[in-house]
Amino acid sequence: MNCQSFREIVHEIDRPNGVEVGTLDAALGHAQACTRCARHLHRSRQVASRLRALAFADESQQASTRTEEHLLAAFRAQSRRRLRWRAVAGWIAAAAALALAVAGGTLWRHASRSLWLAAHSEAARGTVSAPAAARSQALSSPGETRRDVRPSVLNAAHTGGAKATGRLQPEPETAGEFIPLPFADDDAPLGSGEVVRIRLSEADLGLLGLSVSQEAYAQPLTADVVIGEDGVARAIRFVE
Amino acid sequence: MMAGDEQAFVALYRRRQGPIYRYALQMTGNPGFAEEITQEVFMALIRDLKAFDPSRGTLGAYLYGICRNYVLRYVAEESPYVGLPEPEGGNGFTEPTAFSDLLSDLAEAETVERVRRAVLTLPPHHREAVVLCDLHEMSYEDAAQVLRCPVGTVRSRLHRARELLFTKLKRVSSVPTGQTDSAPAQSESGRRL
Repeated sequence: MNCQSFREIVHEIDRPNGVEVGTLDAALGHAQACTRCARHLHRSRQVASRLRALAFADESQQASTRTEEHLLAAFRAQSRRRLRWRAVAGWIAAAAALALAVAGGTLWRHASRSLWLAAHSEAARGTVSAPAAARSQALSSPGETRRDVRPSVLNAAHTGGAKATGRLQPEPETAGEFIPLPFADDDAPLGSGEVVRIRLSEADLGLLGLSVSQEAYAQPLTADVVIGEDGVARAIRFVE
Repeated sequence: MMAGDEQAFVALYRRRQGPIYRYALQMTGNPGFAEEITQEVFMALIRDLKAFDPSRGTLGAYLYGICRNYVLRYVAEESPYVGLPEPEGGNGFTEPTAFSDLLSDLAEAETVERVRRAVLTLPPHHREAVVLCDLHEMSYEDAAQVLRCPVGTVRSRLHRARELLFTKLKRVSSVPTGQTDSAPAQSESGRRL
């Protein structure tokens, strides 16, 4: 080992696992032979010794208990915030789930109502021909095709329907007045329409947005429904 | 601790705060600021526990890393260098005789303060190498992780820092004490610690 390589490792000599055993022996051997390097090793050890003394003197140094108290308070506050945020997040998730359920239910209700009306319209078209004929007669009158024909349609359906259904229903029937359905757009003109005879179940009444008494609710009802050209039911009347 | 276990936090704090505080103190030389840095380090841990990734290193290295950031910011802003008296002539410490004076002062608190001040006058990168490797007895690998540099860099910085320390301590201790060297180089070189 020469002086240059000795100086490169001089600060590693006393360090645990600083240099390999062979290198260490070579370095110490060189220091015994070279006064200059021996002096260098000596002062390296002096510096290391002083640093150890400083480390020893500082060994008991630590932060004050006041810092620990502050940190503990901060930790508690943070834990509370975290718990609060978890609760808020839970409520937000629940509200979002509820909103989705309501929106989904509404969509499903509208979709099933449209499907139901379309299906019953097709069914009634084949069985109830008289109201349709009366409606056709009413709508074919000059001057009534381009205006709101609801009164004519309703009137024709009311009178003509009674005559026509007499053939299908042997017993005399009485029909009430047409009631606009809650979801129907009253302001929109009814260019043309169709009256269909239907039988309503309990669930159907709710779908139409009608409230009925408990007695009526218990049994199916017969009703005439006015369906606009857009396929949306506009009005209903109950037939006894 | 992530579940809000207060006892776990207290245990962790009491185990780790000493080294962190000492590191900050030895780097800045300011007990008040060391206290503040220690608080900030653990506050950072409280605020974002998930930021610590065990796969990237030990918790100790993580805390030292945060502490180092604060310390370097302080060093950059405050430049708390402590001036050392210049030698009053002569180069008495170049001879081995002066080391015996250093040895005789070793046990004294005044000497410890001199060393502390000498460490504080080191450039920050050299200072942190000395503080971590010598004062905190950290391995080169751990120090490299904290300092985010290769092991070889730590080694070279430490080597340079010790050379600088020797020079600074030599200047401080150059006041004649009347004692002569009693530790010849030849006998010292053969001693193994």
